[in-house]
Amino acid sequence: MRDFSERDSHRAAPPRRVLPAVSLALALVPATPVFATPVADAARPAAATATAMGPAHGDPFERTNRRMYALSNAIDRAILAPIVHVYLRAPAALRDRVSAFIYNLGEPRTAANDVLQGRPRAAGKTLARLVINSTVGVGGLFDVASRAGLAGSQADFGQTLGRWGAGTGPYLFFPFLGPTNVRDGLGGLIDSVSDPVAWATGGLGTTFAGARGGVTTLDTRAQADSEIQALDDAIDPYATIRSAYLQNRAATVDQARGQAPSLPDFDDPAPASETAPVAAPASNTAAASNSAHPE
Amino acid sequence: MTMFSSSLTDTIRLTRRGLVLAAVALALSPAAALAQAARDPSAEQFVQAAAQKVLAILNEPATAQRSRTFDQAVEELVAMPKISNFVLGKYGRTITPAQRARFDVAFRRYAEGVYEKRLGEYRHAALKVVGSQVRKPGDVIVRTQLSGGPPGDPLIASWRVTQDGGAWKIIDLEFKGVWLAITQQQDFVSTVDNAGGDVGVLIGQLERDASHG
Repeated sequence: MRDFSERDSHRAAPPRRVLPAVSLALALVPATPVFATPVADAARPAAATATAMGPAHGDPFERTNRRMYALSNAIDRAILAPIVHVYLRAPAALRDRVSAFIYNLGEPRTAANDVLQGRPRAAGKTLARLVINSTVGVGGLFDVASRAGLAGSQADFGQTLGRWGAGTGPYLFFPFLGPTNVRDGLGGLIDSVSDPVAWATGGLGTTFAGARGGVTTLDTRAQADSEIQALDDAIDPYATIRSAYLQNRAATVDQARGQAPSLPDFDDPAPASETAPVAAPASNTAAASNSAHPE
Repeated sequence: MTMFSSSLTDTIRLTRRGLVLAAVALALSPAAALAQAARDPSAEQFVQAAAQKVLAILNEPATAQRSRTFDQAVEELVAMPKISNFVLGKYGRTITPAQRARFDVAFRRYAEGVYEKRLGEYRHAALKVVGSQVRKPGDVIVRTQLSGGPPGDPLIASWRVTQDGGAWKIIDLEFKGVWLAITQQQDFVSTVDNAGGDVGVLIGQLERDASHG
């Protein structure tokens, strides 16, 4: 039997942006305890971010998530990865234009979230970028604002919720969508349905919205390709993606709160991340059968 | 009508100009916000020199000699015993001395391979220290900007360095909020958890990885 953690060379992308069409799938997820741990980050700021993602911590659906991860890998290997590897042969200059264009379409949403996070300066900067890149940058194809010293910063509603104290809730893994958690998945859904660009172009059902979703998927997956290949080095790729995703999201929220990352002490014999009880060994997981797949 | 639309155009133009001016003003300020914590010039100098040394080695053609030079640089610049203990997480307390000896060797070879591969992607990049933050004396995060590497924006990488008996050493490296050693700890602990607590399974896997790397 093939194991979930089989060490394939192409795995599901940890998307940096939630894909509009796909995030609708979240609405269909039954019985997801929304905000199961509200204000958890705020209540224990020191331990709840970068270091608190140990195994069995925040992943009560690990067994199901690992199945979804395996399915996601299969889909990626069969469909997405081959397309992406053809796309990656296109000149970088062309792919950069695609990335910049997609990024620019996300700026209104970023600005809206900057405002919701109480960061008017960040919102002003994002709007300035939008104006500069949409005009001087030829409809967003060139990120001239960055060259003028206005570096981009993304903001999303999951981050906004975190900024205001919402905990992440359980970790989740969806085919297509990749890794997420209750807070950030819900945030992505709200970002999609409230997206100013989508509203301005007739909603989520238009050809434009479909094309944007498809190109965003391609761009996100292509940008993550080297990180996905780096997963070849992981012993348990599922746990590695979970760790990387949750750290990345925690850093995003730390940034919105203007606080330094909370990091473990390397001299500490008992890292805070591991005070949670150890998960019962799952028969269909990681290491035990991983050794059957040498590379 | 014409007057109205021309004044509307003027308004839009003014608003745009205002936004551009606001943008320029804002562009000058974010650096100040990041620099609120104390910096550590000696840690910054160490990272600048260490990273440049490593990237220069990785710019050589990939030969067995380069690998040896790289491994020597890791030995000199990275606090490997600390990292080796850290990545075991809670299993660092229960591992037997014999397993520990095997793990340390296997992890070192594994980690050298990972560092060589990951940093190798940035071997053509120019590295510049952009700031540092003292967490406590002898525990500093140094932020660097790597430009001209793989396509995309200039990448910000943070190096966590520790002062061990006078000399600085690297203990962790971060890209996009993700710390390498923290991620390895969670990878390894999950692996051992799922092997029913048997550290030998992890060691075996690392040994196989290193010999295939």
